[in-house]
Amino acid sequence: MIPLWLIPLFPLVGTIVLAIIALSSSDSKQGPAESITGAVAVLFPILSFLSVVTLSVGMPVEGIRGTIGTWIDTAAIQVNIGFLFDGLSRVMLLFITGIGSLIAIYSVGYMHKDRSFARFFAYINLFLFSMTILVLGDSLLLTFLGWEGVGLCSYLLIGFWHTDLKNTKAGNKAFIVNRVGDVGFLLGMLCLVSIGGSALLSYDALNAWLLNALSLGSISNAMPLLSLAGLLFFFGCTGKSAQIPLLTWLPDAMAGPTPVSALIHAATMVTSGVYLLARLSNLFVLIPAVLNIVLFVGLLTAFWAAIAGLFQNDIKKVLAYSTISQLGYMFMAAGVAAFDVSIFHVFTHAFFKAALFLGAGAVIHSLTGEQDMRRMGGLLKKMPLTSLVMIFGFLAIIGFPGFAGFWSKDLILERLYVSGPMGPYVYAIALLTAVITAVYMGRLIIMTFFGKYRGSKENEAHIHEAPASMLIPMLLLSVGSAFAGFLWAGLIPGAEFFREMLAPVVGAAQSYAMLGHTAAHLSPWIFAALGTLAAIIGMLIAWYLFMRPVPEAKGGSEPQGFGASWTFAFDKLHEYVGIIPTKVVAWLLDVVVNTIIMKAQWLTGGIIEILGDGIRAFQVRKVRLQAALSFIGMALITILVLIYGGLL
Amino acid sequence: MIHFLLPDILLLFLPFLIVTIRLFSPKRSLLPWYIAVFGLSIIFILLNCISVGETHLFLSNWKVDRFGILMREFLVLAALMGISFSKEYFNYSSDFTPRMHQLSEFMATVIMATFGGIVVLSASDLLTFFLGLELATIPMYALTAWNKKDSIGSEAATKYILMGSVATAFELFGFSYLYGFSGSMLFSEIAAKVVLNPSSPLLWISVLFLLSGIGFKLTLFPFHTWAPDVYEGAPTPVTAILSVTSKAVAISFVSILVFGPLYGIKEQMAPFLSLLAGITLFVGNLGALKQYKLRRFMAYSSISQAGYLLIAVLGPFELALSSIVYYLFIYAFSNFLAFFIFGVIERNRPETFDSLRGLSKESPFLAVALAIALFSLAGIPPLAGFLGKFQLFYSAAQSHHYILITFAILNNVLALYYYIQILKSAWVDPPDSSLFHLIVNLRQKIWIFLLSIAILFGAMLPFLNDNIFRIMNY
Repeated sequence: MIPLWLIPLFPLVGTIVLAIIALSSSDSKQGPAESITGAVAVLFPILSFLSVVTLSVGMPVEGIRGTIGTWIDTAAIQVNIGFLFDGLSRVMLLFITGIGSLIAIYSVGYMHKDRSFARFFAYINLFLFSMTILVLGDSLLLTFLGWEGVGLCSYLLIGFWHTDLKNTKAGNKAFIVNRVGDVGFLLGMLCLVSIGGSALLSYDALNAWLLNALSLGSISNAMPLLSLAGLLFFFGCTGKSAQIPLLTWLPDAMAGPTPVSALIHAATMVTSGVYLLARLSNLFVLIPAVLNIVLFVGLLTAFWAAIAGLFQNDIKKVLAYSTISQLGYMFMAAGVAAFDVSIFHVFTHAFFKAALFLGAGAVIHSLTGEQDMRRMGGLLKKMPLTSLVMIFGFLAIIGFPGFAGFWSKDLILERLYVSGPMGPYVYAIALLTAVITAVYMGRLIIMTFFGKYRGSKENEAHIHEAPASMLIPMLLLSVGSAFAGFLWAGLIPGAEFFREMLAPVVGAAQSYAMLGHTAAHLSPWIFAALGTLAAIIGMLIAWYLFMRPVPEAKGGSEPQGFGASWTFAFDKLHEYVGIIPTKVVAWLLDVVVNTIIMKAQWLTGGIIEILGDGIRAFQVRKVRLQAALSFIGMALITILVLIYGGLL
Repeated sequence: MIHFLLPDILLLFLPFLIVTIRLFSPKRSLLPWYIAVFGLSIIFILLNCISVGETHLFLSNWKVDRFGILMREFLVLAALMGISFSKEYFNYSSDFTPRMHQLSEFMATVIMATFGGIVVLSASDLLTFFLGLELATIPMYALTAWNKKDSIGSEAATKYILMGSVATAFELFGFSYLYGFSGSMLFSEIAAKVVLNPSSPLLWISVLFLLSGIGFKLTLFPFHTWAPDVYEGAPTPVTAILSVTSKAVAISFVSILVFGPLYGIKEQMAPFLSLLAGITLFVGNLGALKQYKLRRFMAYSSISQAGYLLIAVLGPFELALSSIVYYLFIYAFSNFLAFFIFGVIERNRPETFDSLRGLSKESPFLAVALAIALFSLAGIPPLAGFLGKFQLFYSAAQSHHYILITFAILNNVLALYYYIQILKSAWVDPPDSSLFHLIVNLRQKIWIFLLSIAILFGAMLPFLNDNIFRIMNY
């Protein structure tokens, strides 16, 4: 059995090697050789993937645990660097390193001739390292390390082309909004520590503690703090996974290179919030009120983002809003304690969303950077393979029967109806969202691949299919988006491989949440039929609405009018709730510091300076005087001690 | 495991060996130099092999205990750094003073002074104690006057001898009263008497005189007045050795006294000690504010460091001694690092702050090392100096001297201010093109690099700190 730490080690080594390459070639004009750099960049993620596969094959049911050493050892807090490889982290790691490797291969083609080739892959490897730490860590603190690491990499990669101010601003926004969420994560950990000491930061210890407290009945004492902790953790998740209220950074994050959007802002990093909820499932099922908040936040986000997606003209922005919307679905599933289903949707979503993003990247690549869908069209004939990939992804995301998204979304909808509070209503809105999903995704496909080409003439001349290094990962991912769903095909009896895989981790929590729930028994075929109907209606609406000449694009690709106010609603909210109050406080502090504290400082400084001059006057050079001063000083000290001795 | 006396004996014979070899080797031979470096390294390694469990006794009044072993290691390491630093000054003239001569004798004298410190650490009666202190001090007089052609150095030496003699007189007076009070030379018997009769006027007169005497050596206020003049006048390597070895011996003297014969009245002495410590660090800090010469500046800096060291003595036994040992190590690293850099500077420039101008442009390596040294002296985390200061304060906090600690921490702000002034010269002030180009040789590079690393990781990698605590609490 190979050790667990190999999984994060490989990308870490890759990071170091690539950083050295990037640094050592920083003075040369054309940069390092792409062949060697690219080989290194792809090799380490693949090695990491292979180790995950090797470990996955022989994994016992209860998982593998490995501790490398002590990380923090103080009186207040003791944390080990330990890894936990169980059903949940296995499935997460499989697609993180697998899709990560595919996207690394794709990026070799995509980043061709970029001056910062090596730097890009150093970041990608660092991201994979952080992400594997996040998922593999056996304690919240180690997860937090990865959590911060992926945040950093996201920031670095969004602002990767840092000569453009817009990109760096987007990077800053992502970082700052994420930091707001991180406060929630930190405070949540603090809550757990104040309940039961730093031992509770370890997942195993936390689960054992919860179980013990539950059986002893002493859980009710800790309930307020536990609920607070759950709420704070969820707040952290809203930052990382772009949910209401901290979702505004994700559309802006599309400023980064497209493979980054595919890897970080669609397939892996943004789903870490869902992972955290599943990891803490034993905690969350004890606090159903917080789970209800999760459910409704997810519902609102899914619905809101789906509508916002309708107004976007930028192809990547559409995909960004669809990501937010799909993440909303995942949180809805977690909100009704269907953690395995939410992770299943994370899994299938990773495939089809990565496929969609990589397809969009290929389109952008061949149009030399054009992202406005109003300047595309008719690409079906010119880029048939890319179109195929995108259409597979499209069918998956709208839940067309048989495709990956169909199975996972269908399960979510079913669970919403069966086990959620206000089940039928929530189900109805979620189903409506599914219709809208099909509409805006249909709009994307139609505007990009159908109709007539509307872009500039010089771009048209060299529209071409992407190179093989980009096509192969795309095709593999499209195969995944077609078939990944069969790992848990609810309609086919026995096809429950995925559920069984996760059962050791989240099964107990879910059955606890279902206690006393008299499930309304409905045939799964009804849900499947309704879901299919939603997808087909959505497609038809899209066909009816958008299969007509597109108005000519003028100005930027930002939405106008109602679309703009809908799209930027939360930006406005942040402005009023967060930014303006902060600025007011900052202004106040600035004034106070300037007038009062600074004056006090200068006053003290002045006094000290004068004292210093006084001491300097005693710098006599005559030995006699020196000795005399010593005696006098001694006498004075003795007298002082005699008089005030006790007080010192 | 080796016999506990072996390092002491080797150290005693090393100076004689060096001088003898010098007699029988050609004039420019480097053999004595290699023997000194090699010998000190061997002794340092041997010291690390002594078993630290119980207190070893030889002939009833030569004692090797845990504190003694740690301090021996420190003193030998300091001597090694001292002679490595001195070497350059025998190769060329610097700071417009003539080149120094007689390297072998110089090294022998440094090692003699080190041995004096070891005698202090091994003493278990008043006579040995006094002998050790003198043995540690008298070579320093000679070292200060080493550069015979430099009149300022001679003036400094004269001053040092005069003030040192006064200090010795104080100590002898104090010892004689202590003997009169207790009727015994042995620490153990004195300690017993002190417990029996803690408020005897005889005892307190003796304490007063002993503290005054050691106050001179430790440059405590108000006995610090000689230090700036001597530090400025002495050859630079001697200043470095004075500020490390001499100070270490003096603080061990105080700790042995306070935790040995006078332990019975430690609580009653605390106000006195804390007043001395507080005023000393305040005066040292204030004095350093307006200096512009590097060595005079370091003199004031080392005065205030003495104040910080004295704070730790107020704490409980194990914590006080281990924090003092740790702090001394870090202090020696930081101080020698600073001196190594100053040594490079003053090779062909006057030793003032202005000579540092544009250092960050000219030699980023030196500028970064200087920043490490000074920030460590000022106690900025994560450098080792921070942990050192923290432990000194922690030790005093165990005996609830919170007012003093607060005062010391506030003083740290002052200290930061003047340390940063040097850094300002090195990093911010525009380069001065009239300055000569700096020459750094390999030995200096290696030492500067090693010491920087030691300071950087001395706190982050806890083994040094942990080991000291483990040994002290064995």
